[in-house]
Formats: sequence, C-alpha cells, structure tokens
Amino acid sequence: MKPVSVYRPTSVEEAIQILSLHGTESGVYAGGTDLLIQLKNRIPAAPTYLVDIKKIDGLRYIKEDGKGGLQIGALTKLAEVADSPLVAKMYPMLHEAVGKISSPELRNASTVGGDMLQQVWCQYLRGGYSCYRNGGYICYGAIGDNSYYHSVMGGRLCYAVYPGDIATAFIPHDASVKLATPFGVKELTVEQLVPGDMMVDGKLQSHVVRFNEILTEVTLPAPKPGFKASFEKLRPRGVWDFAMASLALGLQLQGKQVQDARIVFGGISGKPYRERPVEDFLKGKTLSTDLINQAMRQTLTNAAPLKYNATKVDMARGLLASGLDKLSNA
Amino acid sequence: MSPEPQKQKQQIKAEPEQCVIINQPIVRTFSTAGGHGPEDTLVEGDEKLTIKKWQGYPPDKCRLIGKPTVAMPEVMLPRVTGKAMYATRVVFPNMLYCKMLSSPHPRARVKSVDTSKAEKMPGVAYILTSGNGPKAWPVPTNLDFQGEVVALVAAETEDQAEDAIAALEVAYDVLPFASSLQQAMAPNVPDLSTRARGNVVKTAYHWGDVDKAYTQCDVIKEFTYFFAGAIPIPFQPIGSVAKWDGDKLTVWGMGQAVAPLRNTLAKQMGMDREKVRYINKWNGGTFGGAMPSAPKFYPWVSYISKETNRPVKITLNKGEELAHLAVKPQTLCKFKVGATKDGKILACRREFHVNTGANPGGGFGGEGGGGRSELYLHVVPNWDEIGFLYRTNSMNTGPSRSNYQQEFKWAWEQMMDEMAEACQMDPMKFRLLNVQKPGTKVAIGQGGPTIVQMPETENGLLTYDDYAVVEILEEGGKVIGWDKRNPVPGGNPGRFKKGLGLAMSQHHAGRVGYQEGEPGYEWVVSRLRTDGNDAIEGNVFQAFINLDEEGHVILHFGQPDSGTNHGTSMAMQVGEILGYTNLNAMRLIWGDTDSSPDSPGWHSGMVTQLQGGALNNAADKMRKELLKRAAETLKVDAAKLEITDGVISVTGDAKKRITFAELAKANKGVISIFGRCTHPAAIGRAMNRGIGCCFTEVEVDTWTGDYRYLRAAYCHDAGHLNNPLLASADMNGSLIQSTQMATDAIPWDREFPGTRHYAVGYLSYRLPTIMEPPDTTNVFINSWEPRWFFGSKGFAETAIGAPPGALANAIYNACGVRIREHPITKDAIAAGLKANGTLGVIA
Repeated sequence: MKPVSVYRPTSVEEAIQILSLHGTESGVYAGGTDLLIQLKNRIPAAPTYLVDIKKIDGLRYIKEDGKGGLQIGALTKLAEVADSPLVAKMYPMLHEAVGKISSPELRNASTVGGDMLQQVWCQYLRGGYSCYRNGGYICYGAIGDNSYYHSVMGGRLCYAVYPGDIATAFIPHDASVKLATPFGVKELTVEQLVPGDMMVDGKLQSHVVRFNEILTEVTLPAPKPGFKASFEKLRPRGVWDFAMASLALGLQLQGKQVQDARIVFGGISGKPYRERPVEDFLKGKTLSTDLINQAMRQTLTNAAPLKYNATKVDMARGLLASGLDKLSNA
Repeated sequence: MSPEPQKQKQQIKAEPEQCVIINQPIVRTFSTAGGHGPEDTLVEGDEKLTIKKWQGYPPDKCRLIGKPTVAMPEVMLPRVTGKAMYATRVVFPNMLYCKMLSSPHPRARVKSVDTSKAEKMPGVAYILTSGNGPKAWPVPTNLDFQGEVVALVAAETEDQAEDAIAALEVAYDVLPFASSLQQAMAPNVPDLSTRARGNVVKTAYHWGDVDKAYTQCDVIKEFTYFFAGAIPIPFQPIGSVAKWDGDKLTVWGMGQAVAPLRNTLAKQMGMDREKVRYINKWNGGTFGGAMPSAPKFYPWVSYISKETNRPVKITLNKGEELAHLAVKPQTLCKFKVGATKDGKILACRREFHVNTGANPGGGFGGEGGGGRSELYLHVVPNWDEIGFLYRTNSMNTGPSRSNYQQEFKWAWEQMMDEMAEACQMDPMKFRLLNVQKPGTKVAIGQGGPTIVQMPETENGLLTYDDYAVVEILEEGGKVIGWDKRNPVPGGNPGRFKKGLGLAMSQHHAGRVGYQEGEPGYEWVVSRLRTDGNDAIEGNVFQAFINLDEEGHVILHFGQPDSGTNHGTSMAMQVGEILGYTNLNAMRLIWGDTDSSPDSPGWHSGMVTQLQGGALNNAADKMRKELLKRAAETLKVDAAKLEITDGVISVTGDAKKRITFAELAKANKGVISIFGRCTHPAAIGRAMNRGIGCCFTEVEVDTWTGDYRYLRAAYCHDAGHLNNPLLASADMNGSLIQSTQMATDAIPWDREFPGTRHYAVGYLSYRLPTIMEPPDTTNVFINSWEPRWFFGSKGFAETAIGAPPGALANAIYNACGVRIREHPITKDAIAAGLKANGTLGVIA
C-alpha cells in the first residue's frame, strides 16, 4: 500500500485548511471503497495526505427542504439512500438507480459524494500505466483494448467512461450540489459538477472540484407535475459491475404527450451524457411505438466508437427504447 | 416493554431444494458381464475378474446412504464460525510476510537483480532471488509468462515487503514471445522449444475411412469454434506458512492432497519426509487450478523461514493468483461432419489447436489429444483427427474443474446442435440417435484413445450397463419442458425471447475401484509394483478407522476438505457399513500428514469413491472384526448377529447384546483397522463411465442484447446418490462454475499482445454474481454401479463439460445468434442480433 498520512478533522473548515496545506497531494477520504483500492494498488494518481471527513457532523442526512424537494448530505451512504422511504416515494427512479449501484456490501460503505466524484475504472489507469490520469502523456484506452470502460462519444485526453450511476440519475431531476470552498459555498448543477475529463489543478479528473473543496450536499427540487422517470442499466454481471450502458430517463407527461424530457446515458462517455437533440425532438409529441422508433434512430448519431466498443451505442439506443416503452405504459 | 418472545431454534433443513432422483431397476433385462443380472457376482474384462456385486453392500438395504444429511459439525462449524484454519489465517508471533516481484514481460531472462537498496529498507529480513534459495527449486531466471516470480522479499509487514519489492532493480533481457494461440499459430512465431518439448506437439488419431464415408453422406457441414480460455478462481486466496521447530519443518498450505505435497516439498528441500509435516485441513475451493500454483511457493517460504529462523507467510493477491492458477486453455476446433439425411453421423474430421501455456510438457503429457472424452459420447464410425498443442508464453494451463472438457465441448456440443439443424432434427432426438448406449456397437478406437485395454469394449460391445445416457436426456427433458421448445431459432414473438438449449458431457471413468482383499486390487497393485514405489504411492489410497472406548468411530484420512463436505459423505459410507442410522458416533480427522496415512491426492471425482473406498475397506474389516469379537463374547454364531447404531445383538433376542464401546473397552484401548483401495485407471483401464447433460432456458432482450439465464435441468448418472443434499450443493456449484467459464475469457489485451490486466481485481475476470445462477433442478439417475459399494460411482466431473454448450445452444434457440467465438457476452449477443437485423426491432 502506498504510504499515507491521515487527518481526521471535525469540521468542514478544518478539512479545507488541511487540504489547502497539502495542495494537490491531498485528497478527501469518505467511504474509501475506491480510494483504498487505489492506495493498495499504489496508483500514482492516488493522494498521499488523506483527509478523512467521516468525523465531521452534519454531512450525513436525507431531509425534506420544505419546498417539496429533498436534501441529501454528501456523506450519506448509498445504502441509506436505497433504504430511504422518502427517496422511494419522491424520486422512485433515483431509488431504483441507487439500488443498482455495485453490491449491497459496497453500498453500505460508499457515500453519495464519493460515487459522484469517483475515479474512472480504466484497466490501464488502475494497472499503473503512465496515462494522462497517472501523469503521463497518452491514453492507452483510446488505442488499446477498450470494450467496456471506454467512451463511444469521443474524448479529450482520457477516453475512460465516467463510471458513477448516481450523478446520471440525479440529472433528470435537475439536481444541484453545494461545494464548500475556502471562499464560501459554491453551487453547481450536477451536470456542471461532472463535465468529463478536465485538467483541474494540474490533475486530469472527471469533475470540477478543486483540491481544497469539499462536496457537501445534493439538492433535489420538487418533482414537476406529470414527471415520470425510468432507470435502465446493462452490465456484464447482474450486480456489482459497472454499466456497459445505462440510462436515466425523465419525462414530464400530460397523458402520453411529452412536455419536457431528460435523456441521460451513463457508461458510454466521459461524463453522464445528456442527449439534448432527442429531448427536444420528443417535446410536444405523443408517446407511441412509432415515436420510440424515431427517437431511437435519432439517438447518439454523433457517436464515435473506438475499436472494440461500438455495441455500446446499440445497447444505449435499446435502453432508450426500453425506457420510453416503460414510461408510455406506466 | 414485554420481553421478546423466545425464538424457536431453527432446524437446518436437510432436503435439497430442487432435486429429482430417478431409480433405474436394480435387476434389468439388459445386463452385460452379469452387472445387473440377479447373480451376486459379476465377471469383468479380459482377465475375467470375479467381483462381489456391490462389494457385498447392496443399494436396496441402505439406512444412511441416500438420505439427505447435513454436514458434520467438525466440517461445518469451523467454517461458519470463522475458526477454520485456512493457511491464510495461520498467524504466529514474530512472523515475516512475503511479497513477490512478478515479471512484467511475457518472456524474458533475468540478467541481474540489484537488491542493495531494498536490503537497507525498514523491516526487510530476507530477499530471495535466483542467486540464493533451495537448489532443487530455484527462483527462475527464464521467465516464460507475464506474472512469473522474479524475486521474493520477506519483511516485518506486507507493506514493507511491497516497498522493498518496488526498490529492487532488475535487468531483463526481453525476448520475443508468443502468448496467445493466434500468436503461436502465426508464421513468425519465436522458437519457444525446450528440452522437454518443442514449440508444437502434433497429435493424430483416426479410424475408419472418413473420405469414403463422406461420399455416403447426405449432409456434410464444416464448423469452426474458438474457446478463449477460462480461469477457475478459488474463493480463498492462495497462501502458505512455513515454520521450523529445530530440524522439523511444518508447512500450512492449500491444495488437494497432503502426503504427496509433503513428499515433493521434502525432495525440493533435500530433507527426509519424516522431518516435514504438511497441514491443509481447509480450502475455499481449489478447482484443480490451484494444484500447481500454491505448492510452487512452499520451498521458497520454507527456505526463507530457515534462513531467518522465523515463521514466514505468503498470500497472493488476486492479480498474482490470476497469473499463477492453471487455466483452461485457448482452444480452436474445426470440424467437417457428415451424416445421413435421417441424422446418423457417419464421419467426422476434427482439427484442433490448443494453447498449452508455458508449462514444460504442456500440462497434459506429450500426447495431449484433448482427452477426447466427447468421442465416448457418440458413435462416429469414421474419425480423422489432427491436433496441435502449442507451447506459449501464456500462464500455465492444466486440468481445472476437469481436463479438456469445457473448452472442447464448447465446440463439440454446438457442432451437434448445428448438425441436428442441418439434418432438420430436434437436437435431443439427434443426440439420442447418435449417442453410445449400453450394448451399442462402437469402433474399438472409439472405446477410449487415451485409455488402453478397455473392458467395456470387449467384443465390440459396451459391457457395462449402468450408463444412464438415455435416462439423463429423457428425464432432464421432462424437467425443463423440452417438448415446448420452439423449433424455430428466434421464433418466439416479442422483445424478450425465450429459448431452450441442451448439451451433453461424458468424462472420466465414473470412478470406482478395487478394495484390498479382492482379486482386482491385487491385480492392479501387482501391475503398479512393476513401475515402482511412486506408482504405488500415487495410486493406492489408504485410511484407518479407530473405535474408541466411548464408542466413537474415528476416521483418519489425508484429504484436505474441498469445500464440498466430502468428509460427511465418507462418514455416511463408513456408518452404513458399520450399521449406523445416523452420524452421531462418527468423528473425522483429516488434512495433516502427522495424523493420517499417506494417500494420493484427490481430483477427477475420486475422493468419496476412492478415499472413501479405503475407508470402506477399513470399515468392512472393522465390521467383520467386531462381529467376530461379539460372537466370541456372546457365544453365538456371528451369522446370527445384527448391528444397529453401535450395538451388536442376537437376531430375535435383543437382550443378548454388546456395544462397540464395550468391545473397545475389552480391547483395553482403541481398535484400529487399516484400509486400502486403488482404481484401475491407475493402469490405464477405465472400468466404467460417467455421463451427464445440461438443459438450459434463457431469455434474450432483443432490444439491448441483455440475457437472463432462467432455468437449468442439470442431469447426472449418479450410480447411487450418496447424500442428495451434498450432491445438489456440489452440482449447483459445478453448474455455476462451468457457466462462468462460458461467460468470460482470459483477459488478454487485444492491442498489447502478451499483456493481461489484473488491476481491476474481480473486474479483470468476472465471476458470476448471486444474480446470475438459474433456477436449477438437479436430476440424478441412480443407475446402480454393480462394482462398487452401495451401487455408487463418481460423477463430480461428468456433467461439468455441458453448461457452456447448453448456454450457447439456448441463446441460439432464443434469438438466432450463434456464438461460435467464446465467451458468451451481452455485447456478442447484441452484435449478433445486429448482424441478423433483429436488434432493436420495435413493433
């Protein structure tokens, strides 16, 4: 295991101070389900100074915001979201999506914030290859064996797919997050939080959180009237595995007529991939088999699959058909 | 608050959830060699050996055998309470922890290892390289596969050992390599030959006249199938601990034997066997693949332990395990098959290519040849085969959950399905038409090319009659509902399409043996004796039973627990012979060379049959001895005595009795009896066969390529099912493991040849999860093997070759996608649907 120092601050302010002190060599330690594996495998990109935020009170909760929406603390365990009657009642698609993340054991340890900000699972990165994320100057995934873990929608430097499911499921709900920073609280939408591979403070990462910032809360606004949603996940194994393709679909319906739509694919791109042209196409139309066929044909037309992963595009289109079919019969 | 109501103690349900047991008649109209005639003896083989039927213990009088029985406490409780001492759980004060440096190259020579920096690092106690260590088992300098051991470091903690490993500076001479089968078959392959074997071992086998037979065929088809390799992964990490007490070495290990591993280790360390103690009570599955990989490290940890005078432990991480486990090899099979229009196969030409890895000898012997057990399955009057076994820079290959089965039957069973379709026949009827049955006339060559002197083909007939080939197909078909199978591939309407598939499997000899005292035993042992002590040690199973003064029957045997609770099964056999109706008096002592007599290891479905055979031999002698002593004490004829649950009484006069405990007390100490048993395969005779099949139902989502494995009927010719509970659990595991082998491949990088990726742990090689297994019904046919105790025979590896082909055939039936290139994945299904124009057709 990589030698590390661990700090256990008791307030967000103290944590930010420590993170600021150690700069980009520091990292937040929450559930640890990903971080500890990186340390054990001595991944160059893994942090050296760990700031364990589990002792900080007030980051682990699920509560109504008084405006018909919900606030979820970033330290809340995925299992707590999956077991929450409040989430199940107000946001059943999110509830279903969290139930499909990883395995029950890992959901007991993983946190909402950790799932959103997790590292990608490219076998070259995890194998210690000198890729962009490990400080090198090549993406082995783009030129190598790229069946499951790599983008079909192009990339900038790193072609690994964004692996988190909860962010994908938050986006149709127009969820936003709060970041504690040295200069106060910053608010972003979830889409803004995870825009794909970004060079931040000299490190390539999927999110825009800086080295001395801490994700503290996710806010879900009140569901709009007529909002229905569906989560689909296709993975090599029936539990625990990452998505080959996933879909979080939200439709605001009046009868069978689509008022508004959110189509967000997971597992196919470096970020939760929102298919806006098809969202726009669906608006004002009535759900039918014919419409589903048309929507499928228009989906991911700008896909740029790599050598071994073209099937992910077809799978994603199939998932959209499945989601639309489910909601048109709901 | 009222107190909580006391919860009732929950009883463990001693019934298999879904299990169908079909009994064949014990006396049958068809009987060869007297096997199922009404007589008490049968005559076997060219030697006309007379065998006492059922070894004197007939199947229809059993009180324990056949009863669902939960595992005995000494086997079960330590496992569920976490007290089972797996080697990886053994800890001593002052212990050192070892880590290894693995080769990053598929093929290289170590020029030098600079240990100077590592030696000075905190906690480092010893560094083992090719320059030191046991002379008979040095750390290699010629590295033949990625992951091979370059050096080991022992330190106070694993982390310190890892730090030191990172500080080792190795100069490699990197050499050209060929890791995959495709590379090995390429024209510019480097010379990988060794003194032990060349680059390629060629095999050929034929009978009849294939080309002439093709002219008589109405249907001739050619097929190619590729199996991309598979890894059976134990749940328990591979690890070992070595500790010296003076000049005595004790090693805790993981594997499938104790005495043979102690003997090998003693040789490697240049020691007397008596000075080495080997302990391996517990395993989390070894699956054959761990057999060569765990013991490889014993001499090294033993050597470091001696040099440092401290206990030393090594535990492999998942990536290291994936590099060192013996794997199922990449296998390419090509067929040209001819049949008549009514579906009778007349000729088959097969060409195969196998990546046999880096092991000297290829792990399968020079001849290899795929075991060819599928040739026992069907009548093929004309056969022409050519095979190529390649030495490569792959990890070691070897028998793991059977030898040459899944990889060859992947091809064979799909070929049978495709031929059935070409002949416009139902695949089950096609198999029933072509399958070998008791009494089927077969070519002598087809009796078993890897086995000589097959008594079952004496006079050109299969002379055994406990071969439930028709029954497994018919009864399995009933369970799965084969009559409802849609005959048109992909013909079911709608998005989610269901399909049924079938595959068969035949492997191994059904595992029965000869016990000490019968002519067959002397006949085999005399033949072994000419080959020397190693042959005897390698093939004669031994055990002893002690009866103590409290009436406990204590079974001493060497075999480590396999995870299938075979100890319970063997206790049932011994209990049956000694007249028990339960296992309360039984005790088990196993897995330690200091407490058990030497025996060969277990594999290939031998343990309950042959280690059990040695125990049964001891139990039979014990029964006779106890009856003799009781007769003397009670002053009656032994023939008038009966035994129930440790009490010997006079028939019709229950008051006249004596207990086992009283007999032991009268003996002034334990009564101890030794038993032995061997098996005719030791001298190249099969004696009988096992047969199995798998029926599979799947559902394919034609919009996405997703599929679910819905149901399976897993069918076995069981001889006489010893313990339905154990057998069902064992076979459920067998089905899941074999399905795993069908659904993922060795993770070769397709762009960076010679490289495998282990960094993503279990994602590197996906095991099935709890969501994958189908709703399974095990179908057991009691075919009553007349040569062995209670009619039993081994069946651990008979059906295990069937699931991959069954799954592929079911997917084809469901959606019309034929996956000839392993593994079966969702993206392969989606790609197949797309190629057929049936992906995402929404109507």
